[in-house]
Order: sequence, then structure tokens, then C-alpha cells
Amino acid sequence: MGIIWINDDNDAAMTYTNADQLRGIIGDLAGVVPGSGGIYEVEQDDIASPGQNQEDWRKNIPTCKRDLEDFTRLVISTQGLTDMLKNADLYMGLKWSDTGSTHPSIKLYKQYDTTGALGYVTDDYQATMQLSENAILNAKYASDDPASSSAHTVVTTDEVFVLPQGLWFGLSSDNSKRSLLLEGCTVGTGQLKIVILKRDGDSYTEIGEGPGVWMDLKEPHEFVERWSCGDGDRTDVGSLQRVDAKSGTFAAPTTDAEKDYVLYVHGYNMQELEKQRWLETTYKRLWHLGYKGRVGEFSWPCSQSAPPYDDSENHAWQSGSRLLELLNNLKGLGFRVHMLAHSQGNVVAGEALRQAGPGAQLVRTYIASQAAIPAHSYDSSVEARTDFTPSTPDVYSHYLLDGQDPPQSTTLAHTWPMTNPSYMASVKMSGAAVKYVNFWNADDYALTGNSLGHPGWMIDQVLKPTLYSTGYNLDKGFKRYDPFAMPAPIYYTFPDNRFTIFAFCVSARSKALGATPTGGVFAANQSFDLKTSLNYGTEHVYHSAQFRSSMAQRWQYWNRFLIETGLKSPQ
Amino acid sequence: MKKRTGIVIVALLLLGLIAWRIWFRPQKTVTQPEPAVVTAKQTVAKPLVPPTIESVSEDDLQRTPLKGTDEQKRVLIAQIREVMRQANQPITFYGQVVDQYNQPIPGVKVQLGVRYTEEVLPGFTDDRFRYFDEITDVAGLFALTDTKGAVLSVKALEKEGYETTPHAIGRSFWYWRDVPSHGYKAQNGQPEIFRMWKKSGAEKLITGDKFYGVVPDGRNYAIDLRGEKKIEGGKMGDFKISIHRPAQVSSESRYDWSCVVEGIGGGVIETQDEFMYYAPESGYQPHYEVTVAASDPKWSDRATRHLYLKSNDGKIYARLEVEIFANYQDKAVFSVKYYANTNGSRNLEYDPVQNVVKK
Repeated sequence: MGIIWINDDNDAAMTYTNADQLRGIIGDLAGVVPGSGGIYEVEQDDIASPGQNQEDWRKNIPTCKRDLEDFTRLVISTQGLTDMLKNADLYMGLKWSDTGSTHPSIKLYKQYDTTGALGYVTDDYQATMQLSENAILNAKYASDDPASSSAHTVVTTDEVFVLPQGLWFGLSSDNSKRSLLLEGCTVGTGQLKIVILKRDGDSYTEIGEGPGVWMDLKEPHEFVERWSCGDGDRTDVGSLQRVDAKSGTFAAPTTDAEKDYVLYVHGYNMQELEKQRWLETTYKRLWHLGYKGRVGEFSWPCSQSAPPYDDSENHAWQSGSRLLELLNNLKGLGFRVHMLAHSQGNVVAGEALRQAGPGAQLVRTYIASQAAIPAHSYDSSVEARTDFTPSTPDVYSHYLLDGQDPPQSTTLAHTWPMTNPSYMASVKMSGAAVKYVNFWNADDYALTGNSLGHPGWMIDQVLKPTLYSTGYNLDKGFKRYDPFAMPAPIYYTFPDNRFTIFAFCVSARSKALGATPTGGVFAANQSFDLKTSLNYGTEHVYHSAQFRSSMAQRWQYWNRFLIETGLKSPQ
Repeated sequence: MKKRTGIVIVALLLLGLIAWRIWFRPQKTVTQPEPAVVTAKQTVAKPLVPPTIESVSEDDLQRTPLKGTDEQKRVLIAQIREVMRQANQPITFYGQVVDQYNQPIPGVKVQLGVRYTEEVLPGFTDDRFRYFDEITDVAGLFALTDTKGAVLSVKALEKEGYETTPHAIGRSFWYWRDVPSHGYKAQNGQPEIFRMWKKSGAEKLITGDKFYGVVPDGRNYAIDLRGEKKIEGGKMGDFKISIHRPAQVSSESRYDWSCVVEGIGGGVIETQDEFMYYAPESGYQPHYEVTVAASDPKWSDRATRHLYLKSNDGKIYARLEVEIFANYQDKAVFSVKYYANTNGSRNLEYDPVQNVVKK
């Protein structure tokens, strides 16, 4: 049975040549100078949820290359009938059967690539060419304008859909397969059958029935699983729950492939729609590349706007224990978890694995992608920044070591020996994941920038003690002191207040993990350089390019993800 | 008079108090560096110039989106402006565009992007981009001066009849971040070189991207690019591969491993060419071997190579982008992206319009 999702989103790639044209469309103008020229693409994830009757399937032409990710392939063989179909002696039609009380419907498009290959989602040229193909029109309504939204292009349960004579031109007895693209329109289950028709004027008579294919059309969220410890804007970290309204209901895995579970951990500045869409995008892009396992998301209460960054980071640290709970649950169910954390989501992921401890093997592969966490937290030997003088102790590189005699101070971090290992050193989390891989980009906009609007990881580290009236006292340790709001400073201790200290008080002295290769647990495997390997650039879009733009442009990221996780099937 | 003197003294005291609040309280709140905290790493750091809060005006305080007291805002605004000042370094850049024969190319449109930090509102910055289109002169030279920013990147090289590579347009130059020790320094007379390929006209190629599983015991597999087949022990095809490593390995273990590529009716050349658009006429070796010793400090269980292939007695020339995984799903993998000319021509220029794409 073919189980596919309906094309119910709102993909768009509008190009504007002037930044001011964008202002009414999106609020996010990172990297765009007001009044300046240039080319700006607005993508699906920048646009609000589709309104009623605005879903992409209602349009009779693919809206953009990204829209093609919601299409799959259907090949029809005309063997033995090719000449009769070409000469209109016979017609071929499609009809639904065994649909029960459901009403599945689809649209079909002639595939530009006649070989029926995957190029429409992995080749930019082919994707571009595919955009000029209108949906196939039911030959009964040949006078319809195929570009009109009212054209009869939907294969419904109401009537037989007659495929037009022209579809078979170019086929021969030696080459009798026509490759089509299919998009789901409405949910339902049934068998899509081929019927052979004889035309008499305007009527078509069914004279034979061919084979069929079972289809189960579902909404995209039914293909993924979403777990959450809170989805409000920096609301309290709550208990771990599955978000049933936005999740499928997975049965126990019945195949070995289904035991693989890709778990996506989102980053900062993610609104509700984006959390869901990027999860679904992860599923769709992996599915096209042949992945047959499960896809889920761990959702946590990040900031839904930018800034504030540090308060979001505080929530990320706190959410680590909930992610750990999920990882334990998934392992208990027999899943092989492959974790993909993005940006600030790597704070959540790293803390979960640290709490899991060395050798826990809760995760098969941890891909830290564009990670917004100090490289020093994993590897104290990473080169330190030279553009500012930090005013706080180097707690990421040399963290409190328990069990010493005499015990190390729980407040005076500057007294900790330089021999202390880093917070997430190998000794603390080697084997928590079997394999660690760092997907990094030395030019990453968010991780190397000085923007307070989208921060700006570099400037955020410089400002950390100042921005929140925090600092460090040589006699009492880390403190927060707003003389106009608090009668006296609040002093923090390790390890209980470490999340607050990390998020608000300590300046990292290194670049972010996602902007540099590191040693530590990441040393055993090659870091993957997004800049040199996939041409990730300096602009903001590249901080999350794998979720944005079209799969035809970004498929190689997902292909590399499958390779690094060992999920790509060799031929 | 005494009353007036008293008022003046009180006024002076008040001024002194205000000055104290402005100058000293924020210093405590900010917690400036204290010697005992300074580590060896910090001593090599270039000290940040102390924020000059005089530059923060009353108007700035009114307009800033920052929260807090006026004193806190002053310090923050000053500190943010200092970061911005440091990040916006003067940018001077010299480049030259040449073709595959090292001949300068005049008239190339070079698009450069410069990221800089701008104060949108007092104390509120945004990283933005300026894009510049420069045209190369008769010597293929171009230059960018009189701007400021943190990083310069080359976004595009465009001229009809020429092609560039992702490598050329993916280059970036940091003027900030690693200043002063590692920041990029342009030198007039020593331009950065960018190459473009002068196209001679693409021919029809077959191309594909394959991920072949291999039993890593040294057995041979024949690869047929035209049929996209992998035949164990086969003798027909375009090239043979074999991978050898110990049978039992783990992701943590190190071991000797090797991979052999053999051109059938031809040979293989490893290359560092930026453009692999024209296969060499000669120099092909029947066997090409990658060997990785367990004792190699840069040991890895994978290797990437770019190879020219000649096979079937010169009927086929191809460029191969190879990635070898010595341990993948308990076997090994030979991954290859190929562009093959099956007409006996060494022309390997690719044009998607006229090529058959197989994936």
C-alpha cells in the first residue's frame, strides 16, 4: 500500500527585488537593508498556515520547487495498449474502489524526467523544469482551462478520471511506461484502479479493468510523532507528553527498519507552526531519500521570538532532563534513536546525554547541527576568542569536579584547577551516544554574528554578564544584582544553579560548537563542514538552510545525515 | 551669601553623587575583570576598550529598546557600540579572475557580500549585508575598498561562456573575529586568485550518484556506469573496486585498510584539479590504491578522492568523486558521483539540458 501525505501546506518562493516589498509580507528582515535592492526569497516556513481553500493541492500547478516535496511518483504501463491509446481507439481511466466511507482524492502531473527518477526533488534543473507542468485534466472536461482552479483535475471518488490521449504521445511498444507525479488532496483509503474505456462522443464506457494500487492518504502530522515538555513562549518546563493532536499514532515497529527513530530537537526562535512544519519537513525529505523508519520531535518551551536568547537558553538547559526521559522511553521500546539537534536545541541534547552518563548508549548517532553551545563545553583545547576579555571564570572548559579531597568550592569557580575536564568532556558522556558528529559552518550567521535582533551568539557571550546584571565576585562567586530591583545580590552555587549561570552569567571564551570543529566526544568521527561540502554561506538563511528552501537545493544535507547515521542503504 | 554657598555645596554634592552613580555603580554591576580570575588564556586576549558611556545621549536612552535603569542602559549601549566598532573593520580586498590556462579574464561580474553590524536603535544591533558588483579589468583584476564589515564572501562570478565552481564562490575572508592575529590582510599586488573555466561546449554525459555496498575482504566488484551495475567478480564494465580491512572492527577501533580502483581497459589518475572538465590524455595508472595505516595520526575510516577514469580502451572518460567508507553497516561502501563521456571524448563539461540524469 502506498501511504502518502496530502499536500495541505502553503509552499511559496516569491522573489522580491527590493527589500521594502518584503516588509508587509514577513517581519524577519535579517540581512536585508531597508530600501536596498537584491533578490529575496520568501519560503514556506516564513508564511503563515494556509487558510481555508488555500492549501497547495488546490492549485493546478506546483507553486515552487519546495512544493514538489509533497509529490510522489506513479508509473503507468501501457504495455499492449500503447498504440490504441495514442490513436484514441481506447482511453485509460482511473477510478477509486474500496474506499469505504472515506473520500481519497489525488492530482496527477506528467513528470518532466521521463525516466521516472527522483530528480524532481534532487536536481535543481529538473525541479525547475517540472514547475511548468500543469495538473492533468480529466479528458471529459477537455475544454477547461487547465490553469484555472476550477478545472477538473482531481481524481475523486465521484467519477472515473479519463486520462487524456496526449499523455501517451512519445511512448512505444519498447518504451511503454509513463512517469507521473502524484499529490494527495484529501484524506482517505482505497484502491486506485486502472480502467479501459471506449469513447462514444462525449461519453466513455468502461470495457475493462486493470490492476490497482492501494493508497492511504493522510495528513502530514500522522507520519510523525511529537513529544513535548512545553510549547509556550518560555513557559515552565513541564512533564513529558506526546502532543496527540499533532502526532501520528504509531504501532509497534513491525520491521527492522521501523526501529530506527530520527529524533529532531528544534532550536530557538521557533513558533508553533515552525516547530510542526520543520518536523514534517524532516520526515518528508528523509522519506524521499528512502528512509523507512520513524521521525519524531522533542519540543521544548523556547523563546518564540528573537530575542530574548538567554532566557530561552535557560529553558533549554532545564529541558535536558525531559529529553533524557524520552530517550530512555524510546530505548525501552526498542528504538535505535538518531538524534538531530539544531542550534540551541543542542543545549537540550547535550545536557540530556551528559545526564545519561558515559556508556549509556541511549542514542546511536547524535548529529549536532549548527550547534549554539560553547565548543569549550566539549573540548577545552579549542582556540579561545581573542576579541574580548571575559570577566567570568572559564567554567565551560574546566568544570567543577566532584569527589575531590578536599572538595572543590561550589561557588568559587576561579579556584577550580585548570586540570578539571570540560563540562561535557569525553569522560562524562563518551558512549552516551555511540557516535557524535558535528555539522559546522565557520561562517554561520547566527553563531558568528553580532546581531541582537537575531542574536548574535558572539555578541551575546560578550554581553552575558552585563545584560542581566550578573557577574562574578571573587569571594562569593556568581551573582545577580539589580540594585534597583533587589535589596541584595543573589549568589549562585554549582551544580544546582548551573543552568542559570550558563544561560545568564558566563561568557563562553570559544566559538560555538557549530562554528568550529572540536575534539572531545566529537573527535572520534569526522566533523562535517557545511561550508566547504554544501556551500553553506554567510547569510541568515544558512543557519537553518536544511529546513528551508527546496529539497532540490538541500537534499545533500539530508543525504549526509543518512550516511553519518548509517541509515543510507548501500546498493 | 552663606545660604547661597550652602546651596552650591549641596548642588556639588548632588553632582558628585550623580557622577558616582554614573561612573562607579555600573562598574560594580558589570563586574569588570579582576586579576585573580584571569587565566593564561585571558592574558593573550586583546582587552576590550572600556565602554565610553559619554557617547550615550539622553536621546539614546529614550529610544533604546533595552530594559533597565538609565545607568544600566548607558553601560550596555556603550558596550554594544564597542563590539560593533570592533566588528566593523575596514575592508580592502584585491582579486584576480583567471581561466584554466591562467589567462586573466576581463569583464567578469564579481558579486561580493560584506556582513557588517548596524545599530538599528540605540544599543540594538543587526548584522546586515552589502552586496557589491565589481567588474574585472583587462588584467582580470578587481578591488573592493572603502567599506567596513566583519566578513567578506564571494557570492558569484559571472561571464557568458565561463563557468565557476562552488569552491571559488564559497570563499570567505574574515576581517574581524580573529583580529589582530589572524584577521585577513589584503595586499595590493598579491590578489586572491579565482578561477573560471572557459567552456568549449558540453557533450552528452551520463551522470549518477551511487552508494555501493562492498564486502571488505578484498574481493573485486566491476562497476558498469552505463548500466549502473555492480557485479561481484565481474570482468566487464568500466572499473573495478575492492576494499580490504579486518573482518571484525568497531567504530572505536583503528585498523589498516585499503581500497583499490582499477580502470578496465584503461586506468585512473588522482587529481586535485578545481575543474575536472577535461580528462588528461595520458598518465593513467592501471591500479590506484588508497591505503590507511592504523598508526597514522590522522587515521580515519573514510577517504575522499577525485579521480579521472579512462576505460574500455579510451571509449570512456569520466570524472569520479569518490568517498570510501571502510566500515559501514558491518560492510564497506564505495560511494561515487560520476560524469562519464561514453563517446571516446575527453570533454567532461556538464550541461543538464542535454544530459541523461540517472539517480
